[in-house]
Amino acid sequence: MKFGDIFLKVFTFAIFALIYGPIVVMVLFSFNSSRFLGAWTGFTINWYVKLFEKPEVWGALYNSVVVAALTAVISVVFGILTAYAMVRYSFRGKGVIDSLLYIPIIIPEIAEALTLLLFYLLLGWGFGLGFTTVLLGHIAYDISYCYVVLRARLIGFDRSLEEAAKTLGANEIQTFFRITLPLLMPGILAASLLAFTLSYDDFYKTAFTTGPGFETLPLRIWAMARKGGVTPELNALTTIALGISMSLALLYQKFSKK
Amino acid sequence: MSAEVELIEVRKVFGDVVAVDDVSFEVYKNEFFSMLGPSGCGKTTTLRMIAGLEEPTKGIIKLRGNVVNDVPPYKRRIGMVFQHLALFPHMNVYDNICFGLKMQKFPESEFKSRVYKILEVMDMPPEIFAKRNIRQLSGGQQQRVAIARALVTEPTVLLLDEPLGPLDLKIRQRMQIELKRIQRTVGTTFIYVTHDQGEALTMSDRIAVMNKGRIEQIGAAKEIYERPKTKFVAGFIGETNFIEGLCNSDGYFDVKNSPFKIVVDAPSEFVGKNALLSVRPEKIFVAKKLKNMDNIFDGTVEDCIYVGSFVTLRIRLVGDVELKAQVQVAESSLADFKVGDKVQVGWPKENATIVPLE
Amino acid sequence: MSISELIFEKIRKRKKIIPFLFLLLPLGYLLVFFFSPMIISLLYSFGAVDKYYHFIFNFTLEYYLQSFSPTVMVILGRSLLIAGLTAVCCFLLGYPVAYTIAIKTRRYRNVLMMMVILPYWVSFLLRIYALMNILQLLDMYVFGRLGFSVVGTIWGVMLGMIYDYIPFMILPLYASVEKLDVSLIEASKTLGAGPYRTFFHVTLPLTMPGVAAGIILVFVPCVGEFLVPYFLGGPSEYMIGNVIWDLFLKVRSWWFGSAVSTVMLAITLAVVLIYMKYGGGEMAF
Repeated sequence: MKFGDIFLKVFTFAIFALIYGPIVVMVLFSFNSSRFLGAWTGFTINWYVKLFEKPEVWGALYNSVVVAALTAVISVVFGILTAYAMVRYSFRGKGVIDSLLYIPIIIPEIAEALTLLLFYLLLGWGFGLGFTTVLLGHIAYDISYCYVVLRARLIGFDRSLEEAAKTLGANEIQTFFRITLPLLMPGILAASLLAFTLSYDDFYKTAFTTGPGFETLPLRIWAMARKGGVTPELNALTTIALGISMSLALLYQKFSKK
Repeated sequence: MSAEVELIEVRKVFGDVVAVDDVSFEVYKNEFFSMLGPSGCGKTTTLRMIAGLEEPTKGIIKLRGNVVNDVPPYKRRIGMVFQHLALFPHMNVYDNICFGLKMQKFPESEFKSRVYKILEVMDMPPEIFAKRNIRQLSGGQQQRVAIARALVTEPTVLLLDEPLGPLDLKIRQRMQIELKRIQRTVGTTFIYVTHDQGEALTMSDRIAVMNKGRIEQIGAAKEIYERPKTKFVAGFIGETNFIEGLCNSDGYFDVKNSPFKIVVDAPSEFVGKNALLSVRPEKIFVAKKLKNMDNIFDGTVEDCIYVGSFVTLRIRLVGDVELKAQVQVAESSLADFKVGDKVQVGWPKENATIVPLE
Repeated sequence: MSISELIFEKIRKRKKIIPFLFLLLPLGYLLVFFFSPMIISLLYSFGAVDKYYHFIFNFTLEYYLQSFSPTVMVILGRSLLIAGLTAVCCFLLGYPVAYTIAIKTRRYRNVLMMMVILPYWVSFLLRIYALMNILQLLDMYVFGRLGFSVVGTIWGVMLGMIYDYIPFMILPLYASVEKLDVSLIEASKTLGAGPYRTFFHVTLPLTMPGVAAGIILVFVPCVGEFLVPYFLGGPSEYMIGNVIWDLFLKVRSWWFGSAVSTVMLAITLAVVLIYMKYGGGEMAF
């Protein structure tokens, strides 16, 4: 092997180590029985147990999951409608609409978050901030991502399958539900996972548009982090959050392949 | 014979491109009808319009005597076999074939018997194949499932869009015979699209030769081959030699820029006009000395290619006319030509046809 | 025919309406919950909303003038600089990785890319927190003993930014390198160019679309970043994201805040457009 190749591989390995290192350390220290960093005094799952005794943690987790699930469902439905219209039909203004749909993806999250808050204030919802306002904001952001994923899937779709169905007697609606939809399922699931994760991980929009009494997991982590910095309890919480994220990622990979 | 399918001045335009240019023809019941032509000639577009997958820009399409322009494909009672088969990947063989039966509301109690029967017609034992996944089948087997799926609903017309393209040569040849057998057995009208002339000539009752959106000629295989009506048909089907010249009134064809006069059977519409003479290589006789033939000319062998069952000779005649002749190797007395040999070429006048210049 | 079939036939006949029917709900939703908030924030920034949250017929540039004050401009400039440096560092560190995975490790390619994507799926908050863990550890036991610290300095911020954004760079780069026709590299070598020259004259120019995409994907969000400077920076690393956060969630000064945000977006867009015109070449989108 040439020197250049060896260097490249070592370099890549180093970058991977640097990316995963902190995560590994964090996970490890969540099992550390010492309160203090740097000193490993023994393996314990105490911190996890303590977490589970805190109602705020359960509440935040519950909220995150509910909002994420609802966001995923609604965003995917909107995403399919949009992708189908944009890929299968031609009409004036398609180019403009396509560009508009990419804007939520490119805009810095904090900019988007603040516009939502201002919008709600104008509507007089200033005192009703909470679950609904958070959910509405998440959906607005996720539709574009679902659109992008589903659009790619639809473009690669073999249309002759639909034509065959039509020659066999299926009308447009039957063709859609018996042929198109089942074959799009992996793409739909992938888009749902993406939408779920985006909502589940969301910080800025939630921070700006939530009110007293409604907290999601990222906000809980934020609250604990800004108060106490790095603590084993927080390490435990983040490890759990991490585990959920990674599982979603692996599931997504599985559906992307099909 | 009644017309199953009728096209009347059908035109299809995509943007600036005229894909199908005023095409009219009839297809009769139980006929094996082919549309033959090079890519882009409009044959597939025409087929799709008959299926209802494209709407004609102008013109009328009739199925069984009824105008169907406004009828969607799922109400036309046709069957279609697509170029890449379009078998549903998320269903097995049984469900694929059953799909049409379900959609067209056949009685459920008959599904199994109908599917099994058609699989047997396809020479695919149902006990083995019904539950198989599409991906587990070979190319030829997938072909047959696609045909079975389209035929099981007993459509009056089956449309086939170059279905044998991706198959290996030997399998393709076998499938051609199979298709013909199936068509005879089931009695459905077949409309078959292909760019392979050998295929069309082998399988069809009648062929429509298409070029650039128009039909050049419709007829039985023999008629199209022996009596082409246009330059394109003469050149596209098989091989031919073209000689330009003038048909004069005493039964001769004056070769342009040449002292030759060829004896021909010119149809009256060509008399006095410039035209092309078409004579196929295998219809030309070559020997050291020829006798008793309408046309005999002297020439020199310029090129000699041995192709196995025959030899292709390029012969230059006096006056700079070049002809390609094909000689069967079995004609032993005529074998063994060498470049530079002086030979005589000739043909009886009925071996040549006259076609218009353009 | 039943009523639904009648309606269905009616719709079938007027094919032109169908796409708009589909787009009605989703686009309508976006119009209400995405685009109008953007416009509303513009209105706030021009003072067209009063403190009781009603529209008023007013137009003032005072908030924008405030935004162009030296304090804000310095912070904005710092943010642009940090974002730019981050983009460059991510490129320098990320390109070799993308190249290696795409070309040098064909067999494990998919697994390795999955490992690159995995952090992508972990929220920024978690990743910064994880980084904070290790940096605090190092600060305490290594750097502290040497007399300096990383957390609370520009180094912490830079490390945090790069750590957060490097997957955003590797992904488009990988996509671009992967599409590269390997025979072009081989041809270059047979024509006499060594590995370095081949890289600079063939590989790099051909992967430019990926590079451009990566740089923009890193730069734009980085300008408005809040969490990294909050956790890993000190007062002199205060970025425009922190300004906006404080203006909105601490001081509750919506008008000034939306003006600052608009200025940030406008200048970021301007920088991107300039980059695309003169430096970027074609985009991979």
